[in-house]
Amino acid sequence: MRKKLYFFVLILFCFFGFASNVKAEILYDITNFYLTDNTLTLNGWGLIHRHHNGNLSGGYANTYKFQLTNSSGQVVRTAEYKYANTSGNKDSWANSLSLTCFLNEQTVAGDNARCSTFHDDFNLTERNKIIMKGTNYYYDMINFKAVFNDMNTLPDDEYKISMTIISGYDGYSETENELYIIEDYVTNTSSIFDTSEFTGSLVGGVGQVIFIANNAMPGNFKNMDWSIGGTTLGGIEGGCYFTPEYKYNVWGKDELRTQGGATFYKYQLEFSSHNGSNCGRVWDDLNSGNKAGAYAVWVKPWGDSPILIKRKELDPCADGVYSESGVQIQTAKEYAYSNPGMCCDTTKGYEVLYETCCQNTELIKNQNIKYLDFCCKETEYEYYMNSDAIKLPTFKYYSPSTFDYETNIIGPSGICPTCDTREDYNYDEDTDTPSSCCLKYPENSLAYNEDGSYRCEKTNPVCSDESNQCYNSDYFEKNTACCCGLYGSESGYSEKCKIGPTTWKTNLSCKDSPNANTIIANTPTGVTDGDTVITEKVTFTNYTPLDVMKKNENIIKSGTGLDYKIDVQHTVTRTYNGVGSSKTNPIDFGCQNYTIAKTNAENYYYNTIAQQLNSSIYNSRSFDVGIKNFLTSNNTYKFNSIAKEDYYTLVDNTFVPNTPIDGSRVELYFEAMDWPTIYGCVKKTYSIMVPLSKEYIYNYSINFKDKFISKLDTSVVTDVTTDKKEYLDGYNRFYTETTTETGVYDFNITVSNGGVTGRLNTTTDGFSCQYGVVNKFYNNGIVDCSPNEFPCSDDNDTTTNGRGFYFRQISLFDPFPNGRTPGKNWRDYYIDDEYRYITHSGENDSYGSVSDEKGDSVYIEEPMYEVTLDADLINQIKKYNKSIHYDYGWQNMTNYAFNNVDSTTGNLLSSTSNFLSGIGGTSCYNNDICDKIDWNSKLSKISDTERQNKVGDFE
Amino acid sequence: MKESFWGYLIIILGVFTLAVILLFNDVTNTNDQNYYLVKEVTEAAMIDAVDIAYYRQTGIIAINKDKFAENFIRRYAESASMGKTYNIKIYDVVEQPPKVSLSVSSKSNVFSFTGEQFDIINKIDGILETKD
Repeated sequence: MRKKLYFFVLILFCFFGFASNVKAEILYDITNFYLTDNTLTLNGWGLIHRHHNGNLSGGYANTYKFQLTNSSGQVVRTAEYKYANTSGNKDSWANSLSLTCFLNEQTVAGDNARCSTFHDDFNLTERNKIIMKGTNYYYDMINFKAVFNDMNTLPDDEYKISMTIISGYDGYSETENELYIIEDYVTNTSSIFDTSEFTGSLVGGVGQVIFIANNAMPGNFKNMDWSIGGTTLGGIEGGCYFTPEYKYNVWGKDELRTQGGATFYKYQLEFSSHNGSNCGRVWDDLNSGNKAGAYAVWVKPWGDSPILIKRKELDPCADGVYSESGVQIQTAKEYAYSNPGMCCDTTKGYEVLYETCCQNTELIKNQNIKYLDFCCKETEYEYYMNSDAIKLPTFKYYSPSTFDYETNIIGPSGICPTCDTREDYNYDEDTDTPSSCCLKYPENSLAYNEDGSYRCEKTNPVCSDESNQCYNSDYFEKNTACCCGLYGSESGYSEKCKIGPTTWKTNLSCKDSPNANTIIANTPTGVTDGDTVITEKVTFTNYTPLDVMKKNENIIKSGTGLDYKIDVQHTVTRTYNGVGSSKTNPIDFGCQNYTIAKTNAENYYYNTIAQQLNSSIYNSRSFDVGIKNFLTSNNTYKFNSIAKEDYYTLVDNTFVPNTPIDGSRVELYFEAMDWPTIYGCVKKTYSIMVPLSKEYIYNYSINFKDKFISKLDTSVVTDVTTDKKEYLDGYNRFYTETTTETGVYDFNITVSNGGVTGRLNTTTDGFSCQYGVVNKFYNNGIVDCSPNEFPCSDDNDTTTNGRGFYFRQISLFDPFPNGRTPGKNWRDYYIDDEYRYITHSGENDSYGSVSDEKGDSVYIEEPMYEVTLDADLINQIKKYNKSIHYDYGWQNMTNYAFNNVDSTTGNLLSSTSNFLSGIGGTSCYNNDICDKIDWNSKLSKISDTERQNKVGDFE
Repeated sequence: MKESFWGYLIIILGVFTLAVILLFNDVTNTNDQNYYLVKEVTEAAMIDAVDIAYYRQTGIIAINKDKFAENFIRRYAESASMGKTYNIKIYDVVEQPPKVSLSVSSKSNVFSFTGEQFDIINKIDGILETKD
């Protein structure tokens, strides 16, 4: 595209004032400048300062020319201009050029027409001023506006613009008095002359300051003088004269303003008269209508050197792209997307689309993660998830040739995740953006969570075949998922892996099963004259979603209990036989005490309804107006299927529909009206309504803590209140077995047993979810810690086979020698190089205060248990062991039979050994079948009061 | 000195030496046996004492001190020699995290030396560690 529209227009703006018979000096300023696609417009003012040439034969109007010349001096454009209108308002100029009149209307008395000579259509009284500076020397003020058209067709880059004033000859402007004019081109107000002149009487004493003007501009200040009505100098008594110096004050920097590249200051101009010792009084007042003025300043021309007018070069990142004919081809955004990396300068002021700046890694790093995600998306397919519903950022397809992702983004110096760890795939909750790693592979997909967020349904394994590196702790930490086989790698499950189960079922996402919300039943059993239809709808409103269940903290250890709570909303809709009614007319109970009135009303309706319920539905009885609306055509009442417990709901002042707890069909309304002026009391009324159909909503929670499930896989559920379990069953928990293998298990919750109405005989589909179990207790043989085999390369303790914990003999002074990593259950007690409870006392240790040195000092304390095991005792114990079949379990512990839980706190109670207590049972002294040891004095035991019953950090 | 006295002396020395050897043999062998017995019994007792109910509630491995003491005594007695008297002292039981310190001393009921009995004392300190 030809850069025609972006040429540099170097315009030499010159003011030439010339005429063959006029000597002129021109001052000017360009106050505004417009350059559009094809038009150049100049606004400004000029002051021509010239001498009369002595030719008094006639007057001529000045001639002004605005011309644009090329480098060869050829005039290529001439500006159009016209005279300004009479208002002098530049904004509304109809003409492009206005000229001041050469003469003040009163400068030469009675010679107004002279201005007209020059500018026939100009109203002199409004603004045109002329100053005769001296003989043959005067100023000419102009405001101009020149317009050059068709600029876009000019072929060259540089032109010179000039304004030429050809002074006209004025034979009538000659005067002996210098007049000065005050102009203000800063404010550009139409009333500038109003502040630059004073009229009427002017009387001042010595040193008296007469305010002249505001808003004068600094520049080539001139001495002030004054005159009266165009007469000769005078008017100042006794040879007094005006001070040659003026005074002015700078207003302050806050008044600074910049215009046309120059800074203008505002001045307040004052002047006074003086005659040495007795001056200061104006000798002759100004005649009415006469004006005196002083010019304070004009702006010195800075246009005496060429000005460079550079046409703005369009920035495609900000303005888009245009054709030669000026038609926009691309918007700025389109250009940025089409030219990735080209519009990434944050200092240029345009909107940076960071997703187009992927190559600028430093820039992207500091931006929202969504840009990072996008930039790190290796494949080049369209971002197909663009939609309002999903609210993903709208990204544009990148050509593979545009970016070298491997080098710029993924590479060693790149900023993108390597997508080889599970964390790299995580959904970013802060930005509601799926990980770029998820989208890296087309075979992966995004799926919705219940809360509207995303998750990555990843099918592509990302683990490299470097599982042997899992021996390395650092590598393991960074690649836990791979090392743990979560992506189907060969590593397999590791004892070190924090996340055990891998087989989560995608079709069980902790949602209602497809039919869970369906109406369970109609035509209920056991109802012959009541409800025609009972429907129940079950909605699981609040529960832990699957993605949360998958988190490490929610994966339970085998043998422990599962906490899971589901909020259920159970909606029962009952449609009744018989007659319903709208709200009855209120019954006035008059001015009774509120409580009494209410009680009376309740009793009244209770009895009324009870009477009806206890009567044959065809038994006609007489009731008062309160329930007459229930009368059928045959004058019978029908409250079919209203059980006694459903009599009514008392609602004070407020109608509460579908109140589930009440479960009533008949609704009683109470209303209290404070009409003391009418009734002299608070009037109370009651009314009832019996709807034909009513919806009851029951909200409740299912909490596994409140259920005992003997084994999860059998799903035998019983209420804890009716089924106590043994101590080892572990309180009222929905618990797994210690032998439950690592894996994912699902559970299903259904509504049965007739639903909440007891009349429904269909078991609903229910709520299905999954929970993960990792067996830390017994490892089911999964982990074979053979030497040098992952993941037990650092731990050759073969005694750990099959169990998640192991015994180890230790030194009391160095329990974890040579930097050995403590087992997980001991890590929290390694504090400040102290192994609490071993080398130093712990918080609940009875061997001193926390951090006291402990070590082998325990051996100088009184033992907690001391037994003298002689032949007799050995013999007893052997009998004891034989009697209970060498069972070393917990049957002989106290509190074993039932839940050993404090009913208040829910905590486990202590369990003590019946073997050690030696109480009750059959002695083993002389009996082969026995369960009691006669310790005599061979056992000493420190009581629990002497030593804490449970030491350590039990929760 | 008659030659027969030399024979008596040799016989006496032989008997004495034999007694010393038997004494130390008894002591040393018992010590070996005791050490491994104590270690094995301690490990077994600690594992048996793991409070499953507490684990179900909390997922934390803890032991019950009474259960540990009971199991240790029962298991030790089951394997102990009737010819010795053992003094079992359980000095420290930290239920959570599980740690025990105990000692077992034994005295031979068969051999004594000038009326004095040698106490063979074995101490053991052990913990239960969980894996990650």
